[in-house]
Amino acid sequence: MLFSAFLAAYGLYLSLEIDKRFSGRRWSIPSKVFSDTTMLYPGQQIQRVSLEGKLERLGYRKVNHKPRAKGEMRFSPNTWELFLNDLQIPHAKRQGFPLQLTFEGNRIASIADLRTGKPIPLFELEPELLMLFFGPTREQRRLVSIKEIPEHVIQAVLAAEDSRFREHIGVDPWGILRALYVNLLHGDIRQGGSTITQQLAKNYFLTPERTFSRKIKEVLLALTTELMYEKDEIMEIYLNEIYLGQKDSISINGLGEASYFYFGKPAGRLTLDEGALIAGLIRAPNLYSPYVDKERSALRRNTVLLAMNKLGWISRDQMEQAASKPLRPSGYEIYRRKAPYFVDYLSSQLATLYSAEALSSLGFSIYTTLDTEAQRAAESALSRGLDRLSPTVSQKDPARKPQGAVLVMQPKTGSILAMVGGRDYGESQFNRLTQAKRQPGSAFKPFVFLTGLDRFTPATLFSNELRTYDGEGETWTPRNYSPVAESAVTMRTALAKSINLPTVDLAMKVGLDQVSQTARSFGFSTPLAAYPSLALGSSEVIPLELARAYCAFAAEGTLPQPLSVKDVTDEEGNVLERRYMTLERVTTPAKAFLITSMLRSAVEEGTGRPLKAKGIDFPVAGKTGTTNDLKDAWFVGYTPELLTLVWVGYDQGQPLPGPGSEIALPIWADVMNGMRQYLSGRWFKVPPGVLRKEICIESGQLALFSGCLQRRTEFFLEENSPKEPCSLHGSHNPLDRIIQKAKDLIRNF
Amino acid sequence: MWLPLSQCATAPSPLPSPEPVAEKEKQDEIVATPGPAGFASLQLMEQARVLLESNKPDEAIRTLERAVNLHPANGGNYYYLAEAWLMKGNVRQAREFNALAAIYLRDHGEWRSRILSQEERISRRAREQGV
Repeated sequence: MLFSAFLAAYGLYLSLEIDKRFSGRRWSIPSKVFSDTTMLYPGQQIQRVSLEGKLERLGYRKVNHKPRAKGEMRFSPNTWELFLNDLQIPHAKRQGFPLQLTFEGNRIASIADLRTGKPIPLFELEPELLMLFFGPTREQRRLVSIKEIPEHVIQAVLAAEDSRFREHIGVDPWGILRALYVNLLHGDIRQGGSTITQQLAKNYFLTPERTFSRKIKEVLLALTTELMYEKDEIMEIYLNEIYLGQKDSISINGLGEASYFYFGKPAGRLTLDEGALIAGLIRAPNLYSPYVDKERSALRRNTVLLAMNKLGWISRDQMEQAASKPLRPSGYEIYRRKAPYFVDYLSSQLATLYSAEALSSLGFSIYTTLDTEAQRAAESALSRGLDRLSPTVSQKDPARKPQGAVLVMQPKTGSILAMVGGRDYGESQFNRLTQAKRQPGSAFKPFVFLTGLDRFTPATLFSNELRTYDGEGETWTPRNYSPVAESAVTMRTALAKSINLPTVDLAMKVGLDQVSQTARSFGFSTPLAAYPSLALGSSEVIPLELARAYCAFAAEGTLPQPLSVKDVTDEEGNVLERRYMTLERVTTPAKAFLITSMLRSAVEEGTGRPLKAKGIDFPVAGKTGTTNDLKDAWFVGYTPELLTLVWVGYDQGQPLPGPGSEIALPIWADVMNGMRQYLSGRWFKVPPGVLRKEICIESGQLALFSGCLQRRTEFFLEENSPKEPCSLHGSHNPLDRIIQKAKDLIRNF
Repeated sequence: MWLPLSQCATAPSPLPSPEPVAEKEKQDEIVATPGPAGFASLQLMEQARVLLESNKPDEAIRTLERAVNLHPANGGNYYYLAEAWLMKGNVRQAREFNALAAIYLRDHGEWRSRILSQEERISRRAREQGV
């Protein structure tokens, strides 16, 4: 009586425990971070090797036959056939279908739907997995519903583990008797004889030791579970729970994840032989893994197939056909966090929304702006660039190695396409783009010149004479980086050739407070002290903020918000968080254009000239930066499509072997050369409010054809464009004008 | 009589300014004929337009962002972005994108009137919102 009461109470306790465990969230699913998708369209320039690599990273497999299943691809010299995988992202859903890409050199000539032969104007490739937010258990799992799993896969699991699952009540007496017999025979625990329900109870509630008291608990739990749940529910929990292999340090759990790990497909598409292989793994996943020993794996699979045949679930023909199939595991990449600095930055953004525990357990999908091709271009360019410095720097002490950082953004949307925050994430996780504060040097000058555009024009002359200024409690005498003989230079020349003295002259004329205010409106969060040296970039800035501020020049004067996260969805695909490109106007389109135009001069005629020799044959606006004692080397450059910032320097501030044009610029060229497919080669549209006028170089006033020998065209803001004719070469005396005209005629004759 | 000429030659000459930047810029300026990326961008713009007609501004914005990435000079993208933000009731963003559309489409007669009418609708909404 007492025993019955105890048993009833214990049963109630167990049922509450089971209910608590099974009715709540059953598993911790790490959130996944994805790159952006990739658009492909006819006429696009593409590096075929890169595209092939991308397809492989996305799990596409080369086959020798015409692709018949999702994820298969066949290559011939100028034709690629792909059976696209399904695409399911927050803004687009697409069923996989076969298509054909044809190439002419490195250009996509055409894209056609192989089902209909019709041309396809563009399509998206799936995003790449960048990272998983693992919890302490480092489990990877993909949940699958019992309704999606083919019957032959369930039968394979039953044949391998518990063929009487449908009949027993959670415990199989025959199995227990068999196990008892074996264990008594050996005087030790040799066999479990557990049913699937018992295995589940063991995994969920019990410790792994093999004692008789634990066995009794397991039996009671199994019986209670069977009373509480339907067979299909138990089977579904089991199939999502079981451990099925190891991918480096990460455990593969559940049939859904195992299907991708071993065969690169969802569980719903597993064939009989594949299902039997996975079922055979349950007993000892790493022993029977096809990645460990194909022969042993095939033998185990065939044992399962034989068991299925004996149970009458498959015919002899089906068994023989499946058993004769060669093992073709899909292959996998060892999990490696990609774009680690970007992911850290992203995590810091997400930390304001979700706790670390939520990210490691709730199975969110986080879609980002990262472009894996741009990231690879940035990583390899920085690595090569820093290696080029090797002969001149110490490589022995990691702390004394030069560091570098590269950021690639889309200036109009603010999307961060690539972020490399240091030379080696393994050595240093300090992100020099988001956490460092460095002097920008001349890379700051555009903000000085922008401030001056209210009063001056690109043609205005500024003094190039040595002067001493008061500031910071002492006097300061700026000097040019290299000698410039002229006593005055135009604004355009001063910016293009990065001449210090006229820059300071301009800054003092417009007012340092004004310069500081302009810069702050461009989003700099660091203090910008209104000292004369501010004009030459002596105030430290965060590189990401510098890149963002330059974006405004490329985006018609609108400052974009840097974007890394696009969408966050829950496991069901419901959008939890969505971030868009947003714009904030910080200057007029006309002024932004004038700065861009002068920065183009910097590339074509000034400090950025070496770009041409490095293969940059398309129009670019850009600015070098070098700080005192060569502590920092910068190059920030942009086209209408892309903006790239490169910084090189030592964490400890040792001098570099050269200026920005020698150290940072070649890396910039390398990055952009690796991203040709993103560039149109076109230039910015001249916005309203900008006038093009011919001026006299000497006076900066409207050129007189008859008097000014040195003329050129220049852009002006409509409100302060020159309206007066050249006073140096023109005369107000009508007689002189007639004489001048006559001289012009004679000269032209 | 030739003095002015020699005057020009002997005057203190500033460092020659880069030349002829203005002319180069005119040649390189994004022209009406879009390249392959431009055509792809137009496709996306059309998809976005359909999404807007279906009252799906969020999806339309996402599609238009991709269109802008492909071809930043396609002014139609900014017009529809303004439309999407207007639909979402954000007049500030609508105004910014409308201004961008006006820059890129100012040489296109039929677009100009649509942009003006959009600007009016934005202003009206702004008044309603008291912005």
